[in-house]
Amino acid sequence: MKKGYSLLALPLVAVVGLAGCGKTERSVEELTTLDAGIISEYAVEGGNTYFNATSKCIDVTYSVPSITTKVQTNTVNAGSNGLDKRYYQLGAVYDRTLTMAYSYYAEFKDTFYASIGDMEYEKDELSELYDRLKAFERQLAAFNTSKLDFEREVNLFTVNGEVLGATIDAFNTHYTEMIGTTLELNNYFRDLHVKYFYPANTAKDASYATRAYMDGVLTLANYVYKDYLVALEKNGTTNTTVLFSNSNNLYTKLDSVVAFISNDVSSLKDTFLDKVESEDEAVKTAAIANVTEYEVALNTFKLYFDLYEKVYDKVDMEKHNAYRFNTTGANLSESKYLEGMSTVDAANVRVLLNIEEDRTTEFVNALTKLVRQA
Amino acid sequence: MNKILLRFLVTIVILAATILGVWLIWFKPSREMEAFNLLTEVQNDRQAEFTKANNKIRTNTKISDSLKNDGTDDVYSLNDIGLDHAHSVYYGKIAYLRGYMFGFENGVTNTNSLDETPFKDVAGVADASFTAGDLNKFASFDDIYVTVDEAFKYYYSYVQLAEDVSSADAKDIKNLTKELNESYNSFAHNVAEVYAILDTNPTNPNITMVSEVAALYQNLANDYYNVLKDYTALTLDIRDYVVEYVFEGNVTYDAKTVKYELVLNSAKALTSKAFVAYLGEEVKDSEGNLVDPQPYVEFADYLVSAGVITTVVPDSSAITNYATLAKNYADGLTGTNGVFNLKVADKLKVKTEDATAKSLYNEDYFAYVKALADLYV
Repeated sequence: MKKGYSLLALPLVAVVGLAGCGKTERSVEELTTLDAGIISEYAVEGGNTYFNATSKCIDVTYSVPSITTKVQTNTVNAGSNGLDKRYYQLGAVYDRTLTMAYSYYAEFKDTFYASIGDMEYEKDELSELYDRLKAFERQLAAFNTSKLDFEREVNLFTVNGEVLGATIDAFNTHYTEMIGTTLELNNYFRDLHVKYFYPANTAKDASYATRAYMDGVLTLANYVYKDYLVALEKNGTTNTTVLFSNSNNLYTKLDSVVAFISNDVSSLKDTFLDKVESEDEAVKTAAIANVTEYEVALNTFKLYFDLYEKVYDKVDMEKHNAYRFNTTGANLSESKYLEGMSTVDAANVRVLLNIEEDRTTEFVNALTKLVRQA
Repeated sequence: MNKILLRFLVTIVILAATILGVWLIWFKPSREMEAFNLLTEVQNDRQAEFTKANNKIRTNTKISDSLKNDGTDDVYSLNDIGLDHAHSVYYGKIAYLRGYMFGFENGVTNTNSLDETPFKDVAGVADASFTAGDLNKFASFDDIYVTVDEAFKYYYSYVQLAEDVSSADAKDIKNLTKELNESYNSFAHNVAEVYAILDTNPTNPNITMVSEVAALYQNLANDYYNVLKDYTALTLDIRDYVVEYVFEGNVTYDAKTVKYELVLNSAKALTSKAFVAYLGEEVKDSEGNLVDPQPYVEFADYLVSAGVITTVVPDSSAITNYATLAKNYADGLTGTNGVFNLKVADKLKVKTEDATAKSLYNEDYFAYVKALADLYV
């Protein structure tokens, strides 16, 4: 009988044992080694497949020149066929969003790793960061494989091959996964960065302002990922041509933000960073007030985004996309769209619409105003 | 026998206590959901009844060529028709109102008889009646109601996400909802009364009918104000509720929410002075002292100038005050010097109550503008 109990207990013991197998402490050196390894893994002659040497940002490059040409030269009004539009999306939406998702980590990782070792940090936090960086590495490898598959098919069927529409739709889904994992790394890194480097009552200087700005870029990437990329995914493929079927403002939003994510943040210095540390007290006060005003907008947007995530899974996104992108051509009014829904469902949809139609526009305006304000 | 009865009773009590316990633990809606459910009821059932009754009074009606006698068909809405409109003079007011409200094809067959007894010629009636022009102006309050409703829907959507609500705040929503429902019911009831009278003898209006209908229309005006007042109060309350329990004290403004602020605050100012003067009651503060009735009289004047009440001395100062207040709010929020259009440095001036900055705004609501500046700087 006792043996019987022992046998029954074995799987439980095994699970408990496995749960304790993970390494709970990671050193700063392990993290920097892993980070450097990821970057060197994709280094190629004359450049790097993913990591821009100057900005350290992710910048996906293709080994097939015809793809690069299509991605870079197509415009929002590219051709009438869905293929050209799909190529345009790769650059205008996916590449930009991935850049935005990774930019916070790219901007602050060096200073973070250089100083965190001297601080009294919690050991499991660096371990968690290591795990997320490792997950990022694995996802990048998987993404790289799907990119190579995509390039192989282009070589096989030519860049204009009709069959490539379905290929790009499938590639989009891998791209979305890559962006998702990148966000998980960056969101966690951002929280640690704030906790140890920018506690409450930190003096508002240029460094503080830069961080606030980059936080905004990351926050916006979280929104684009969830509201456009995940929302459009269906059965392992993502057809983004629907984004062209109405006057949605995704491009406007991305255009206005990405313009400021240049090789580094030096372009920001010309606008507001210098003023934050100006010797002219009046200029400095006004510049810091600008940053404070922007932070209110950022915190508010984050709050609304939290609410958005609370109701996101309760909304039928296929129906929602049909309304907002007019995929069925029905041109539904909001009241028609809400007609027949339960009151709770309609309330959930209104929360989403409020974020999509008003809050993001407000936040992007605040973000651009910050760096453009004289 | 008694023992059996006692056991039976004890069993019943235990069962009831168990059921109650299970309900309290698993099925009783939380305070948050109770508030949301109440508001849902307002939005769905009660408001539907009110809208139905309101539409019934205001629906567009086709005046057929047989009535106009000029070979044309026209469709008029409430806003098209003025006091001196040829048709209201020509066909008689009750018939006109009845036809206007319910359709001429519904009960009126002998149009010539209307021509023979134009309402304007019925002795002793014309001056005291509720005219087509009054009816026309009555419509203008729909604009306020529609925007309050829009604001309500906006904040209501977020109510379901509230957490850790205090019982006092949940109770406030319950009470305000109850008051609004009573106003909705009263309005719908009065509309039914108007129908009942007009249906009695639609082709042969008499002085009694006219007086009754005129009185009912004035009641309707009062009811409408009660609805507007209660709906505004409820919406402002759920705005505060959402800001506290969902937005965690963060308030943000865009074109939509600024519009809501403007309309809600203006509607609050408008309806806070509504009924007392009209009903002729004394106004007392919380300590029982008589309050200067002037603001209420002004508001009654406003009702007159808006054409809703016809029995108070006409004076348009109240409506001017209201318009000024609304304009001030609009200027303060979105105008050239509006707080949202100011540069940060100027907002700082508002924040520190710099005399020049302060002079840009109406002193009655400077604190409000300053609060917005505080929020952003």
